[in-house]
Amino acid sequence: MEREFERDPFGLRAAPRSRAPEDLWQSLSDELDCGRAPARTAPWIAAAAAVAALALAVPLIVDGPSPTEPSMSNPLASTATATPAATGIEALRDAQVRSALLERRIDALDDRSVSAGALERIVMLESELRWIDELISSDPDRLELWQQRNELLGEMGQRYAMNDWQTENPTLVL
Amino acid sequence: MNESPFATPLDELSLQRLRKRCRATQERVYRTYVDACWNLALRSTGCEARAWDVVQDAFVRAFRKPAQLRDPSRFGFWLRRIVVHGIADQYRDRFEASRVDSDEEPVEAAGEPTWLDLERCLGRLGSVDRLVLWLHDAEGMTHEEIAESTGHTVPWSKTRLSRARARLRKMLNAGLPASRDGTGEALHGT
Repeated sequence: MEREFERDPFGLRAAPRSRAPEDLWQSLSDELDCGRAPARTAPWIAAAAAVAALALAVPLIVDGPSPTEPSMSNPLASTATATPAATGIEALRDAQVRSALLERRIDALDDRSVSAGALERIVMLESELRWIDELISSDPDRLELWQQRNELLGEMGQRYAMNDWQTENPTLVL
Repeated sequence: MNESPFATPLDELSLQRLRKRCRATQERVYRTYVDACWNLALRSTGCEARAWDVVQDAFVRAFRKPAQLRDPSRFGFWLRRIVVHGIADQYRDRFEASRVDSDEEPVEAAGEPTWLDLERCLGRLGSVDRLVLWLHDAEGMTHEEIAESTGHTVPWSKTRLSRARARLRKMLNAGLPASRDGTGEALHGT
């Protein structure tokens, strides 16, 4: 066992502690009250996805084929029947819709209890997602960023569903 | 040895109430752990605004996802991990991981080291070194825990700690930065 001095040679453990600002609770309480979406869902992403969902849903309803929900194991698969006429804008909207659907599915799964190790993995994946979200916020029309986001959400969804936070590449087909 | 304030256990009933998003329980739990979180975040980031963000985000996450925690007695340590992740995220966002330390800056007249001197030297450490030093020495985390929480390896943690201590020692020995008001408490209790 390490001696105390070796463990803490500068005596940091005994350093004077400061108190958290009183206003912090109010600020936290306000944030909890407003029921803001978790950090990983930037409001503008939700808005973009909603608009895109609406734009995509209307022609699909009119034309016939209904969109299928994305599979967690194949988050890049199209939700609608691809046609040769599919444009880049449609692909982008499709990716945005899929993103919203995947996220909604994860929200339904992520209240399960997990181990401390799993939590580490969750937090890391969510950090990665926030990083992609930041990139998207400065370049929202970049399709490959949305595809990366969907890939990551797909992985998270599979891990939540299987409660598997150890395997490198979960392969369950849902 | 002082027990970490994060070691304060939460009871099963409180965890159940957190799951139901009971605001009174949230506030009670918040007040139990907030000072520990605040000190960790403030010492590690060296900035009140960043510490505020980290602590607020950590509690929001903890209160929104209490179902992810199985053992209420581990709540404090679970919360600490979330705080550490938040701090590490900030470093990554600001590309500070490779920041050059400023330990070559000239320091002022020598004297008996005080807490204020130590604080000033800590502030001159690179952000990552300061985080590892604080987690290990002040929070009592093991290298394994630090590595896991920050997404690095055990050798990385050991190297960072060793370097941080050497730099801090060098700053303190090279000529102590004088306390601005001369009221700092002596570091090693003379």
